[in-house]
Amino acid sequence: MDIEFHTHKKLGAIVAQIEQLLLSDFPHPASENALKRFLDFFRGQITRLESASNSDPRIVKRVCITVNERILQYLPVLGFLLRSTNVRNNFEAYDAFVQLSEALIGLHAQVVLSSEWDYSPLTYPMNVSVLPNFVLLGMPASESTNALILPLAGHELGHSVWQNDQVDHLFRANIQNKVRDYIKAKWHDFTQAYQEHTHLMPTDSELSNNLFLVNVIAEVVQLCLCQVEETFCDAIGIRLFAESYAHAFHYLLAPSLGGYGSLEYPRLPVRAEFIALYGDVNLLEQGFSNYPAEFDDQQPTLTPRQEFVSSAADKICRDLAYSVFEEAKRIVEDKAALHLPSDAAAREILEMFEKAIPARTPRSLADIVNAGWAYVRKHGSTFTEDERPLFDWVSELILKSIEVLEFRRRLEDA
Amino acid sequence: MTKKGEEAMLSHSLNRFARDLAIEQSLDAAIEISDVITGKRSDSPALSGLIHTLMGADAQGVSPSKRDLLSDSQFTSISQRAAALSGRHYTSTNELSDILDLLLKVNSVGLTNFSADDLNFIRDFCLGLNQSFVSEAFSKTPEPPLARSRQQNF
Repeated sequence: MDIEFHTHKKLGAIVAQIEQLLLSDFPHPASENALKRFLDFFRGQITRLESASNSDPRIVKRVCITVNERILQYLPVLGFLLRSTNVRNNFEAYDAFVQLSEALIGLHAQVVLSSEWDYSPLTYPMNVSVLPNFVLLGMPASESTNALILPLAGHELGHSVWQNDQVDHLFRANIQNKVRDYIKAKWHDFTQAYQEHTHLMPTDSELSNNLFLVNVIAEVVQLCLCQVEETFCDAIGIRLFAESYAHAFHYLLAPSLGGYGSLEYPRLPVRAEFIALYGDVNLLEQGFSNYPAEFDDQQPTLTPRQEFVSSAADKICRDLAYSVFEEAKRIVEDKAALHLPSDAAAREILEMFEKAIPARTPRSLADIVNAGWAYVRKHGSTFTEDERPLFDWVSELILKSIEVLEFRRRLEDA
Repeated sequence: MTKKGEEAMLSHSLNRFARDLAIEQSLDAAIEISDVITGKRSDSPALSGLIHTLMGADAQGVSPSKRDLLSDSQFTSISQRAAALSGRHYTSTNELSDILDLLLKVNSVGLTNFSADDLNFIRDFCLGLNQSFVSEAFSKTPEPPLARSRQQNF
């Protein structure tokens, strides 16, 4: 059979699968809304395939390739949406994340909270065009009962803020200028990496007009923007949750996951360094004498060209890190002031936790989780786990407190 | 440069969301232009949408100038790759002016009065864009933790 026929079959299969998924019971409408959007999207792909059927064979081929890529890219998201119906998820926290998302992104924000059969909770900031305004927050299934890692969702929210506020517009021009300056300053390194282009000269004119150089610049800009975005997301997380973001980040990722990181992220110790330098959290008081030193990842072996591009992106991202954190702080303080953490409020909640009762009048998710981490730090070494594990106990206190937070919010809104 | 100035200058920047959208728009545009070539239709809304995605506009809805677009490495790099995939190989940014002129003309007067060669080129350019963006989307890991590069498991 021909490829077009198979593509029809594949689209029919995924549409049927989404229709099946839509028969699920959804605890919140966002997951169902997302599935309906995917259903419309893939039905649209069928319509397109039919309309292209008698076109130029090159067009038909591109349609089939695009369908394959879309299925490949979106199938994991469908699994994510299905798992959002699983009772394993911390649904107690759902309303709190909706409030945060609406504050940061707008009332149109749609939140899906789900679990991942993937260790990282940072897998789906799927800013895909099918799901505009959706915030997909995933937590690793193995940590599904652990409320202490909820602050890591702040990183995911950061990706949605980045998209919603088009933060890349603020940095792109500056990054491009810095890349040009970097290439001029490191011209010897450039000629070592690109030995067949030693005839070029690092003049402004060449850097603007020579398309080989322009492509190198674009590659560094793109890589650097990815790193800046990840830095921005950490900055959003730390501003929204303060010390509990640093603890959760450390809990999940330190010392490393065993390999080397993607070039699209600042290296793990560097991310930790940015958090320590610009996060406005006294990490010494949190028990970290040297927070970045808690992390370690290996440098991948790179070709000279990859090394040049990566070094340029690393350097420029580092140069911009402070202003990236400042921009994140500005946005959070401007849009989500009511949700910001308060030391006094966290202390008050900690006192409640120490009496084995949930918070009575919590005002933010951050205060609750910060109190949870404070409890772990203060009592973790002496806690007797005969009756129940420490994290289960603290998570129960946190989740009950979050329910109180939602109850009070609903009372105020009524 | 002030933030405001930077924003105005690069309001056409293609972020991840826009590149994802452009995958669909470029393919729809190629199909519609084919229909224009064969006389089945006379316009291409998808092409207009694609051009808007590629070029963007500032808060007042004004498209960036040709000079601004040609000074943006991302725009020129994408345009060069798409042109190369459609058979035109350029070495200088200035040579991309031809493409930009065509796109700006579509933006202002639609697809009327285009020669068959130009329509063929615009269609192939759209296919080149689709190929370029799909390839990028495939190779991009969906925001991995420490970003393993996506491996093909088959």
